[in-house]
Amino acid sequence: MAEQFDHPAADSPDAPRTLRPWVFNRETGQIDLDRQPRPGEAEPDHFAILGLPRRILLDADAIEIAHRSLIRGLHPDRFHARGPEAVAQAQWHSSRVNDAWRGLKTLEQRAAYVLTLTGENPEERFRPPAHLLTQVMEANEAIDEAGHDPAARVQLLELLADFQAQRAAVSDELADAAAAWDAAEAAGDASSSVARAQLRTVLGRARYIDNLIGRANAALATPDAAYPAN
Amino acid sequence: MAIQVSFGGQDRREKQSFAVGIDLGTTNSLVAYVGPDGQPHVISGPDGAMVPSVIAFDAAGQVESVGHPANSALLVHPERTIYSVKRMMGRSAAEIVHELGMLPFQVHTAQGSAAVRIEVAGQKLTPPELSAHVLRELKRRAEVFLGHAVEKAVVTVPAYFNDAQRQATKDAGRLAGLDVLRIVNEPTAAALAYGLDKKPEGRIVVYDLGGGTFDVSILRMHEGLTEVLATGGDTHLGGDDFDRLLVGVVAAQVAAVGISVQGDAEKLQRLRKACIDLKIALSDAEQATVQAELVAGQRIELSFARADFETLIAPLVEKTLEPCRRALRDAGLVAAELDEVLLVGGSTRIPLVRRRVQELFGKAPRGDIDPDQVVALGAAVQADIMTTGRRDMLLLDVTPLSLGMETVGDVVVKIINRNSAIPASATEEFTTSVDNQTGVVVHVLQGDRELVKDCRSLAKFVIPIEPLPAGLARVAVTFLIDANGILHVTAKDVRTGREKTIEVKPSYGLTDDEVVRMLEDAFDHAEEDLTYRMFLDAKGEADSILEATRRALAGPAGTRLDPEEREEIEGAIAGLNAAIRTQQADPVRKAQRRLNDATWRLAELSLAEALNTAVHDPQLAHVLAQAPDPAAVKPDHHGQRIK
Repeated sequence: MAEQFDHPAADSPDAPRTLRPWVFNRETGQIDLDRQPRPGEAEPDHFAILGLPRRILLDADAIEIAHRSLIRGLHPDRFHARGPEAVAQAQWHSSRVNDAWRGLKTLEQRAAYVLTLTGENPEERFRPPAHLLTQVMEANEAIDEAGHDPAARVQLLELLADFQAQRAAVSDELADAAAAWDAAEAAGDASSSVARAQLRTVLGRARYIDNLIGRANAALATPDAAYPAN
Repeated sequence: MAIQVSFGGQDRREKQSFAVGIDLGTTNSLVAYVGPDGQPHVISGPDGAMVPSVIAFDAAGQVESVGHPANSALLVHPERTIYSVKRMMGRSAAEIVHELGMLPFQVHTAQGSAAVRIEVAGQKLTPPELSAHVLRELKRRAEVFLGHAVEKAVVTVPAYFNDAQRQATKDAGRLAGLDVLRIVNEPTAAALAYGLDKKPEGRIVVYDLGGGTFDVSILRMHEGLTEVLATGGDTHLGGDDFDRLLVGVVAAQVAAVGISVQGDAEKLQRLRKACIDLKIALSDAEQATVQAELVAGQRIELSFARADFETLIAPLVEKTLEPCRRALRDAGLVAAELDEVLLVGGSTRIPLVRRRVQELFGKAPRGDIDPDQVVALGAAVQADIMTTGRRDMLLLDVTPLSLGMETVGDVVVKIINRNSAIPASATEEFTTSVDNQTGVVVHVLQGDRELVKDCRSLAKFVIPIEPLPAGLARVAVTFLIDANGILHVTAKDVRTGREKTIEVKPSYGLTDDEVVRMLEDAFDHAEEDLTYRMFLDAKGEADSILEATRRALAGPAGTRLDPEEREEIEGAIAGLNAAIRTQQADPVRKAQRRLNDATWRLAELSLAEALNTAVHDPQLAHVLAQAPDPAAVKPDHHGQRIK
């Protein structure tokens, strides 16, 4: 049965086939609930599921539009009249669309995700550079004291401002590393390139500083802002 | 197409796929449907649309009444009357005991079952069984109103309900003979009804303070897509708690005049009723006074000032604000970015609540929605989306709580974070740590805390694994949260690609087998239900024939009838109407046959008329040129239908 569909790639015959969301049937250009990996075809990654190019630098609106149009066509509520099997299939496909969307929302997420695609674990402990270490130790102390020592709070606020400035600088570096990775990927060279090593390093630093900022903010927040127990 | 002479019953298929929307509340429940006009309507019974979620039993343990009569029974025999069942749905015995506080119910757990049972009139019933009585009453109301059987429903739950509470609600529906198409979150349902009417674009917040639960949801509406960005709440907080506080203070006042309600269920219920009236009156007046008769023949006057009431409930109202702030943070928004504030639930009529919400979000709440009905209306809209295939609206909800697994050191590792759009899934791979190990135990938990003891156990199960050297076997387990917010688990052997079945036993609640057994037990009532169902079917058919006859009589064919023929038809119509009032299928069918016989010539005339019109339709002329003479077409005697 043909589905009415408004994914940007769906009605464009000129669009490269790889840019069609994975669930589309290549021949008919329609949603195919039975879609399975063909022999020799790998499980689709988040990009393939959303029908987006495998790039770290992606337009946030493009991701939103791809998700919205796919979920409009694939949500299980749409398939109720076709019986439980169609609902189950739609459930499976739409969960992957939602998972892909959730996993690609931010630039940091996309950077981490492309690294996992080439078998790396971006969660691995990042060793901070020497110039950060002193500050980190100061911050740890201030975080511990901030609850009861006003002087520590003041110090923590200063450190926080500094971390935020550093984070802004890392953002620029990260964008450069992402662009380099995207170029390498487009050239078919992503898995072996130096771009990957560069991306890993910058992303590690970004996450490390994010973690510090998060902890500092939590320590500075008033006690009643702590999340309530469930 | 011009030919349309429909004398038969309504389209069966259409009726079978029909679904209602149900707001199953802590204190009141409602049922709604989407009419032929495409608009949702609440179904009213003789005593109004709201059905108190109260069930009264007789001394023999049979259900005596549900709704308003049961509410009155609460004052007469409180020990056999159950209310606030929703607070017990999907909960453990310890939680219920804690939850009930001053409620007079006895809680039991049976061996070999994770489900909790409430003792009432000598019986031990699970919360889903109790809730099923309320659902059955709503189903019946809808059937009487609509004139046909109702077998499908969309049922709402608080957004902050966990997996077990959702599952229990679904079980209640099944026990009531309803196929629950979908469990929808209450604030989301409210937004859906609001969206249908007002077609807003942008971000809205729904603050839903009901009888027993509090929810807050932040949504984005865009071209018919209602997308939940974040949700939060407290399933232990609602108008009931305000009542309880007020009862506590007023009980002390009446104790001062020598009336003790302590340990006296009947007096306590009368006092509770008076306090609810007081609370309601205080939403409009600065000072309110109600009469109460706690002891027969002794009327006392209870008086309360709004300011005192507000001081009393202020801490609870404050407690609702933190989940609001958290939901904003989770949605990545600040209050100024919200376009609308919607208030849902009876407790939002309290001026203090409105004030605090307005202060928090910096925006006056919408005043044009009915906080009592909007959830049921939204459920009806969702039922319509699912059964009619309308494509202009879609709901994309989130899971309110993170899903995790137990790992070393009693720590929970999150696999699906809270506020993830659903359906959502996560796949985890497991392997063995010992040679020839035949299974891996998985403990699934729900909640946002770090430690196992602070999260809620959903289920424990064993993944079967072939005995192999350690680390060789690999099993991928997929956790899928469906659109209802309910968890499904599947496993696959990574090496062989074979699916494995996993039996997931809920930590609290009913297993599938228990639900089936309860359904079998309900067979006692099956005959009574069946008789009634048959009547409804007959009535449905009779209604459409009556309507068709009325139309035909008023049309050109009607004018061509002889006076005797007309008289005969009118007599048969009166007979059928009388038969419908007997509420029995046989008389209705008999009277319907008589009307059928009486309308034979009317049907023939109508058909000829319709064909005549068709002949003058140029598009049809060439078709009819090859068709037999219209006059020779004999309408089928019993099912005069040409489509």
